[in-house]
Amino acid sequence: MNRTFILTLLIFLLIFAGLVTIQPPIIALSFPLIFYLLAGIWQAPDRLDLRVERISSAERVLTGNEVTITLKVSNQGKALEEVLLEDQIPDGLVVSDGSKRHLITLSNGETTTWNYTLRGRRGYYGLKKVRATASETLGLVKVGQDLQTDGQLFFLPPVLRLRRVAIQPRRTRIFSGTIPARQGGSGVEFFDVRDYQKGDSPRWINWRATARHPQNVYSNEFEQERSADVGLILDGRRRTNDFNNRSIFEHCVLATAALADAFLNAGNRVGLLFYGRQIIWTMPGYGKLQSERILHDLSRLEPGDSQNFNELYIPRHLFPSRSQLVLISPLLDEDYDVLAALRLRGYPLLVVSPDPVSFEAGGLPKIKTYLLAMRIASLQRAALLRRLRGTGTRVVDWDTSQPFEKTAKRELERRSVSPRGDLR
Amino acid sequence: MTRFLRFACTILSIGLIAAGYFLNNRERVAVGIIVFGILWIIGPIRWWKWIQPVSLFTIFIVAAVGLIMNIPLGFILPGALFGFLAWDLAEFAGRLQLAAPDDDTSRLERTHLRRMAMLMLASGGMCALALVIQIKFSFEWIVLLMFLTVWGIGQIVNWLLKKSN
Repeated sequence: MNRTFILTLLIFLLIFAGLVTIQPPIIALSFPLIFYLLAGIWQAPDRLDLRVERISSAERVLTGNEVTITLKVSNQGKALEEVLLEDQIPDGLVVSDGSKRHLITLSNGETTTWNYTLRGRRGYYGLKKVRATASETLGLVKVGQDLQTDGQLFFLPPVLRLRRVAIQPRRTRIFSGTIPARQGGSGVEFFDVRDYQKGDSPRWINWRATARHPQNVYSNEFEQERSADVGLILDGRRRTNDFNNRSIFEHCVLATAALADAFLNAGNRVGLLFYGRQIIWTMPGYGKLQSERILHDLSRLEPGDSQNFNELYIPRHLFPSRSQLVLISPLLDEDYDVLAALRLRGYPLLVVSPDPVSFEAGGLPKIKTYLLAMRIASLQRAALLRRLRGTGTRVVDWDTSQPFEKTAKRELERRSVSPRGDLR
Repeated sequence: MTRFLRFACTILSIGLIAAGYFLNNRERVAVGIIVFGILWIIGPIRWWKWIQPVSLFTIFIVAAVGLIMNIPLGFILPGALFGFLAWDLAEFAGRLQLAAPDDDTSRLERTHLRRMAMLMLASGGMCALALVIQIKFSFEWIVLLMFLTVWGIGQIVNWLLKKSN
């Protein structure tokens, strides 16, 4: 209850009782309360004139790391007897050391500086406000103001280093890279045998073929290695990612960050399409800058409800047909048709699917009914993955209780042996 | 410091008013006041937020009733003042809890206690003065003064609430 209201009520009550009983001492009892109110008015803070400056030790940090925030507040106005300064930090950030608020006295021209340490979940956080609430020492009059500051924090997803992700798209770019281009030329892997040409190194001569045909000399031809277009598609639909209070989405983000890093390190052109509440598109690009862009975008993504997976749109001018697509999704049964259609359009498809069945089972008690339900769901998922593999899609089934590096090493480092041809 | 003073003021307030009633042969009421005082002391420990406003009202009503029953002013007035001080310090202690561990709360405490000491002295003195100097007014003047008082307090409260908003 408001303290001013309590005091007023009591004052009126005492005056009324004093009048009714004709007892001046009862009226006199209200004097301390009236003096108290008057003192509140006398020392009430006027308009606040505070300046705030925020300094962050970093704007972009990997999840798990800490950021030190330094706040400097100076009073340009009248002296404030009691002022509570509280930094407004968004949900998802936790103060790990120090305090985000301070209760102090600020004289005219005085400056106070304090710092505290933040830790947070993956995400983008705007640090825009410091709330100042000033009052006189009795706490009757409180004047509040939001002090605007410039500040933002990106907690980026951790990036796992994958040694190699073997892909073999039908179309490659003209720049050299690590992906076999199905064209003869300079390279490492044997590709074909052709007639010896002037300038060929004697080391390339295929002596066995030459011995069989004494009238000709043959040279080995090697497979060219080039870079490719890789489109990462991250499934952010709530219904595929969220299970009660748990979300597998963080695992999807982790896998996406690791794959993006691996593809970019191999010299490929990589773009990211996020499909969740809305479609977010990171334009394809090369190198470290693109890696930063993708991590930046990944840090902001949250699962959301979308209309329909069938509305998945792939900008074909950016990813020509037969360029490599990588879908990171826990998958639903109805996704099969869309993925099969992508294969029909000529896209080589790699699906990295964190297993939602084992993930959800991890949070459930081990009772018979749940175990049976889990078994049925596992069989359904196994059937879906088998059908997908039947379309020539390379599927990586990731049990999230295992580290992604381990699964990636086993499933992605080897070159695919799936059918090379199109479904057509 | 604030916590100690709050408990001390609570005990002094309850003790003085209960003693006044006891010396006036109102033992049962005195016991009731002591029981209430125990609740008042326990309240902040058990995080009962309602106990402070209820205590303030109770202590002033008991004090007013005591004055009607001719209990000596020497018990009632300091008892009410200490009760008021205990209520204020409880609220102040609540605000101090918002401070960070490394905040200099002693500076805030000093300012607050100095202000309260001045207020208590001024209001205590004013009470004593009002009881010593008694001026006779006609009924019409009393009604007019009361209206002015109520209007004045209303203005103060209105100003305080506006300022807070």
